Order: sequence, then structure tokens, then C-alpha cells
Amino acid sequence: MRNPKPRRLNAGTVGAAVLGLIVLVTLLAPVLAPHDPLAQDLAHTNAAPGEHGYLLGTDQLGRDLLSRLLHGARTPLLVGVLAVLCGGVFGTALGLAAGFARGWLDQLLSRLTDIQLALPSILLALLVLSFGGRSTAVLVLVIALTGWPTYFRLVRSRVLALRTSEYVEASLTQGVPAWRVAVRDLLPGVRGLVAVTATLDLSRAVLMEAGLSYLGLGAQAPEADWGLMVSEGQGQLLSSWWIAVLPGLGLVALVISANLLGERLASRRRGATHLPTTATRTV
Amino acid sequence: MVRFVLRHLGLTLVAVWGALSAVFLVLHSSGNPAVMMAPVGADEDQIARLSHALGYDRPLAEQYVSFFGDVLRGDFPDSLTFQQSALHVVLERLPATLTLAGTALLIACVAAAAAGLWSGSREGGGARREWPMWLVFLAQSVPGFYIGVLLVWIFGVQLRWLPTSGSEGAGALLLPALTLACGVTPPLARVFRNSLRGELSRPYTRTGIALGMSRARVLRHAAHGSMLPTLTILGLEAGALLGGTVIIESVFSWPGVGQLVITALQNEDYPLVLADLTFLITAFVLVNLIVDLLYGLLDPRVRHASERS
Repeated sequence: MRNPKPRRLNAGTVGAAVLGLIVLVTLLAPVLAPHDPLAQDLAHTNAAPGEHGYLLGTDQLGRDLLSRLLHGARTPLLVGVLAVLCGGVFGTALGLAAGFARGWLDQLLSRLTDIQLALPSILLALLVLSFGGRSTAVLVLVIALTGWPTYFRLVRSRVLALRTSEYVEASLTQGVPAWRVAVRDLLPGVRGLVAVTATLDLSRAVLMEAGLSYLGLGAQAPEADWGLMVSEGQGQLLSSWWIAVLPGLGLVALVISANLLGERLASRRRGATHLPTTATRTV
Repeated sequence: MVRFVLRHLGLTLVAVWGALSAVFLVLHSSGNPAVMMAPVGADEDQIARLSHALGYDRPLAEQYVSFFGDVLRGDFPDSLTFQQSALHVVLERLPATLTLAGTALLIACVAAAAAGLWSGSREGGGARREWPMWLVFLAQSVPGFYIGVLLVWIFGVQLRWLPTSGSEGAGALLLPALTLACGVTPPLARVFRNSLRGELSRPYTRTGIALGMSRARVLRHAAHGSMLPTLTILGLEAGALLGGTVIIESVFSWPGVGQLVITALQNEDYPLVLADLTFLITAFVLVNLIVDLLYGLLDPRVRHASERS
């Protein structure tokens, strides 16, 4: 067996650093951006990078691409983080309850996740976005909805193992109420597991937001959003490749860094528990 | 075997019931679905008439029961843009989707086998052995639509080798199939590589080598042993494949079932959206059933394990 530790450490650190950089740049975008991301300069549409003082050129409406790129991660990050939080909290809470209470609650929730995991998440998302309305809140909910079963399954199986351990038995025999045992004894035991899962889930959530925005079901024009920008630029590939190609690079950097960090965290914990590897792409 | 089949049929029925209930729930979540099903700009009178014609004014419980019957009969409201049975429009697009998915699956299998063999059978470590797995990691981290856009830009716009969209000829199939395969290959390649490495470290491999068996023959035995876990993943990939078609078909304007949903959404043709999504979801559950049954047929252990539980 090889010993890949040194390189993996680097990959994880690089992932964390790039992710941090993207978050920082997104937060500072209003200060860093040389132009308003929505301001149109119709005299200089489709300007090539460097032309007319636009460092990365302009898009089909003459909007500064650099400014739009700097702002473009806001929606994927915001929607992604919120969706991961919602799905993570929901899945963890239910997994905790199901693993701790067992019985009919466990049966019911487990069957529910079985059914949901049997359906491709993109179809579920399309269904909700078609008939349930389209807004950022719905987008967050839909991505959270397709993510919670992963947390549920992992937390549930971990709790099933933990609840037979002596310290949990001790608390229960002393008459500590069940909810307190769940929160004070079991929750700390699944915290690390949930953190790792959430990191990998972030890349899934970002990919899904980008895919739905590309299809026109996520972020709406004229907003600067990497997925939407790729879709808007696709028609201009023949004359101005940068409009579609550059925002996509941002997406790739974001997803790769989240995946690298997640895999690094997961590989440190693997062995003790079953963890997912790189988030499977659904879009 | 009979019990195995019955058990899976039962699970599938539950899944279909759950999926259709979800469709029903979402459909009615906004109040009266007729508001969406009516053509754009319809007045209240028209909506009321449509609502009555489609039975949306009946009690919910009654609608819920008849919804299942309608779906099973393929009875959906007519498509607004095509002025004909929505299911008919969907089924017309099916061959294009199957062609695309089939080709993508074929490419993915070949690519996964090559990557898995390369990385799984090599001694030592480092880049020489692992580079296919890095490609796999990359393919997994790049959004499918972006791979599509990049391929169009490189092969369609810059090199002008292949058409950028449409479905004319075999050339038009290559880019969308390649893009779709990028989403399917990674899990396959990973599992094949890992189980190949597992097989190669087992005693029978050592015995084979000690007996002077050729490297190719040892590999063949190990690959045979790695087939089962890889086939399982292949079955699970049906979802990624189907989900992928929705986006990839849209990238390349490939006239399949997936692109139909998106164009129907853009045209606000909600009856067509409903029929298409219901069809895709049901088809997916049924494909899963077939995969499960085949898997049980191939491997008696699966059958018996499920009968014991």
C-alpha cells in the first residue's frame, strides 16, 4: 500500500484555501468589482478581454464580465449553504429521532427515504419548480429536499450503534429525559460525520443550483449567476467565447475545492464509519 | 425466485405510489391546477370550464384516486402547444432519448473499464498509475452542462469537426453522448478500480502468479471477480443517466424527452410538463425494478439474502 498522506493533506488544504478565497471575493465583490454587474454599455457589447478597458471583456449587453464574475458566486453560495443547512438540520434531526426511537417512526422515515432515493433528484426538483412556484426560497427548499436522505441515513446508522454504548445506557438508567440524551450524548457523536457530509453536500448543492439556473429555473436574468451566465453566453460561443467559458471556470473551481476538502475530511474519518465519497453529480 | 420477484414488485408498487402521490401533491399545492393548465391569458370563465372538464372541481380525495387511474391509462390533459395527447408527444420523443442514453452508457462502460484497468492493475503509486482517476475526479466536479458547452466550443466552434446541436447523423450524437457519459463514468470507474485492486490482493491471484499464469490471464480472472460490484453501480447509474438527459439534451437541443420538459416549461405548456415528468419518474422506477430483478437473476446470493430478510 502506498502512503498518500502528504499529497492528500495538500489537496485538502488547497481545497479549503480556494473555497475560502471564493467566499472572500464574493463577500468583497461590491468593493472589488470595477463596474456595476448590471450596468450595460451598449456601445461596447461582446468586447474581447482587454478591449475598451474591460479586463475580461463584456457580454452581449456590454456588461463588464469581471464584475459579473465577482458577483456570480453569490447565488450559488447562498443557495448552496442555505440548502445544506436546511437539509442537514432536517436530516440530522430525523436521523437522530429514528435511530434513537426506532419502532414505527424509524420504519416510516426509512421507507420515505427509500422512496425518495429511488427518484432522480433533478426530476423531483423540476416537478416542484414547475408546479410549486419559482423563487429563491423554493430553490433552497428543493435542493435541501433532495439532500436530506443522505444525512438521515448516515446519522441514523451511527445513532443505532451509539445508543447501545455504556454512557448512553448510563444516562438512560439515571432517568435523563430522552430528548436530553439525544442532544447531549448522541448529537456530539454525529457532529463530525455531519460536518464531513455537509462539505460534500455543498458541492452537490452548488452543482444543482448551477444546473437549474442554466435551465432557466434558478437565478433569473439579469442577475449575475455563474450557471445562468454560461447559458446566456452559449449562444455567443461563435463570436465571444469568454462570456460562457469564464463563468464555468468559476463553477469548476468552487465545486472542485469543496470536493477536495470534503474528500480529505472524509478520508480522515473513513474506516470508522461509512461515508460517501465525492458527491455524485445529479445534473 | 418467485418470492424474490414478488418482493421487488411490491417495493416497486410502493415506490410508484409514493412518486405519483408526490406528483399529485405538488400539482395541487398551488390550489386549482386548472389555472396552470389553461392557455396563457385564459379568463376566469375558461378556467372554470377547464377545471370542470378535467375534474379539478371534485373533492380532493376523489381526484387522488382517479389520478392513479388516469396515469395508468395514460390519460393526461392535451398539450397546449401540440394540440394533441400529451403522452403521445412524449412517446414520440422517446427513441431519441433512448439512443442518446444507450450510446452514453456504452461510452461510459468502455471508459470506466479502461480507467479501472489502468489504475487498478498497476504496481506502485503516483501519477503514472493514478492519472485516469484524476480525470474521473475532474469529470465528477465539472457541471454536465459546462462540459457540453466546452465540447461545443472546442469541437464545434474552434475545430468545426462536429455539429453544435440538432440530431442529424451520427456526428450529432457524439458530443451529447460524450457529455452524458462524463456524468456516468466516475462512479463506475472508481468501483471497478477499487474492486479490481481488492481482487488482485486476494490469495487466488497470488496462487495464479506463483503457478506461472500470464499477467493477462490473472487480470482476466480478477476482472471477472470485479464485475458484480461494478454491475450494481451500473444499475444505480440509471438515475444519473436519466437525470442527465434533461440537462444535456437541452445543451445540445437534442429532441428527446428531457429537452421536451424544458421547452414545455418555457412555453408554459403545463399539461405537457405534467405528462413528461410523470412518464420519466414512472419509467425510472420501472427501470430500477428491471435492474434489481436482473441482478437477482445473475447472482443467487442477492436472491437468497433478500428472501431471508
